[in-house]
Amino acid sequence: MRSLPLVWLVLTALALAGAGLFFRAESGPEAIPFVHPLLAILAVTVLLMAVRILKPLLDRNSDDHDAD
Amino acid sequence: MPIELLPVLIFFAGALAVAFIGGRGAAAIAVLTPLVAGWSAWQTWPGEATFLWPVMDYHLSLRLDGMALVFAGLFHVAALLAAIYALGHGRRLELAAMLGYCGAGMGAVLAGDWLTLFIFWELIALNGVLLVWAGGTSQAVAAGIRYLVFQVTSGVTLLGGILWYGSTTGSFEFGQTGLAAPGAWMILIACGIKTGFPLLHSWIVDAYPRSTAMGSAILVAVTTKVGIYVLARAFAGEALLVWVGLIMALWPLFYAMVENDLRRVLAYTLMVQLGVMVAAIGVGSDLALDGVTMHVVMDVLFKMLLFMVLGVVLLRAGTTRASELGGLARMMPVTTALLIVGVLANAGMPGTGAFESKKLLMASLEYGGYTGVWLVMMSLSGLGMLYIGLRVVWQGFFQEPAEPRQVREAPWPMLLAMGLIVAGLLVAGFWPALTDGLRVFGSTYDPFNGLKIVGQLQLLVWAVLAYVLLSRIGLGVPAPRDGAWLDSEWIYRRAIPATAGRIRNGLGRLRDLAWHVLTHRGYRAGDGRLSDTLSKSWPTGSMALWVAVLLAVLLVFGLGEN
Repeated sequence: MRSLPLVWLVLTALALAGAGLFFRAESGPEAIPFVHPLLAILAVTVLLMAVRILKPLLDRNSDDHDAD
Repeated sequence: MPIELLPVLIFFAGALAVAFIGGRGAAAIAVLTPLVAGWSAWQTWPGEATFLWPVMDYHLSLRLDGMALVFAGLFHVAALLAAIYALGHGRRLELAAMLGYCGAGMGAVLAGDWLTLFIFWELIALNGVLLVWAGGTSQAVAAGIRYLVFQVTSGVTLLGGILWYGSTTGSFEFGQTGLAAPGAWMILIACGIKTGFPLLHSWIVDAYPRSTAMGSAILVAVTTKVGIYVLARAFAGEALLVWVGLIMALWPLFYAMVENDLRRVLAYTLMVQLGVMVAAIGVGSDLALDGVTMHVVMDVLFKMLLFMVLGVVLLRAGTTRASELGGLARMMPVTTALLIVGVLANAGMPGTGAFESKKLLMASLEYGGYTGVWLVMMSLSGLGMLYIGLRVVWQGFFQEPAEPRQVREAPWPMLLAMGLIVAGLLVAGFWPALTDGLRVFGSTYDPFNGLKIVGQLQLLVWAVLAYVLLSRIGLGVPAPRDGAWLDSEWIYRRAIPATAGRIRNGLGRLRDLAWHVLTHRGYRAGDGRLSDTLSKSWPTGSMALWVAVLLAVLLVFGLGEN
């Protein structure tokens, strides 16, 4: 039951990806099949990886609390 | 003084009246002022025109054209929405500052010459800092001072650039300047501070979240938008801005994902939108400038909405920390629904006004030949669902709270103000012909086709799906917690004080060393006072030595200059 929203999300995403095949530009990046889903997946993955890499580097361990 | 300045003066008169009257009368005046000013603008602004205003040997000027009128109209609307939102809880200081702030913003966008712009530029800063201080906490006072430092630096830099430009070219006309013009770099840096260029942006995330509920909402509407306006007027087509905008849009993403205070999250996401607009200004085509003009309107609407929602949360729950929130959707269903529309608009969802404005910006990058930048900026739309949808909507309103609490729905004036914004965003989304008047540069690009609509929907849905799947395998965003993250503000809050302290200590040690040398070579100590020691007679040989050292230093630096 808990995974029902995920099922709907997957179905919607697949339906949109399928519809996207019918709406492609004649040239340019938007002529590539599935360019929008690929962009979204890539962006989310890169961002989450960046968060994991940068978090320990940029964490000031709350030493700024008395800065004001 | 030209009668066309009357709406601006009405704002300032309203601010003074609110400051002295207070109470319910102040709230009523705050609502009436933008209405009266709008009516006077309707009566006195004839359309596109320029007016001169002689002051001593100089002519200040006002310029009414499409872009200026859109921005001025936007500030009217923003002031009205803020005044409605503050009904019942707005204090007279913040209401007066809000009116003065919007009036100054209007003056800045109507300026036809650089000196008029400078006057209103500084008035924006002065009223803005009052809005920050209206927060009333010690943190708000400190953040306000830092805000003022940035804004005054921006003003002084702008003035320097203006005087350099004016004295060299003999003209103070405010228009397309370009980076090759004398003083242009100083003007650009001044705009960079106002707009929040990378490394110059920290005042945004420092000050905006410290203000009151209404103060945060109105602060997003004017300062940075005036910066965008001046950039579009003076530096349209400067390719450097494309890359500045790209960095500006990417820089805040990390912080938007990890900051615990959701108002700071919103402040960072404000920078993302500003970055996209700055990049489009760098393209400089009619399509790009139409996109910038339209997106400024939409951005003000949905960012005000999002800050207003968090203002409600602050009022009702007492905090905007993600780690202390959750479960608000059950108790604030109307606010939650309004918030969701704001998040969708932020992500450029079809059906909201921001879809068209974002597509204009994207198309300008694509047709301007910046395909790589276009790809990155397109993906940011998907990320918008993540950094606001996940952080604000999910963590604030839907996830199980750490500690259950009971809160009430927002007061009716707040709901009314937020509802009006939502209505505006949806009307603009479903009846895009109504926003044709915002295309002041005459572009004809039409994003309402299957490719753009389905493409945008794919971006949004697939970004959510990707996040859900990644979080299921343990790669999601870590749980929010209090912390300080190294950003450029660390430079002036930590690095500069620490460096200044080290220099001070170093100079102290140098003084002690000099003192030690002097006293141990037989000179009289002068009872411990350096001034007495320096007043003693000095041996000729020692003087000659020091003069030789000084001459050597001068020689070295002199050679370096050549």
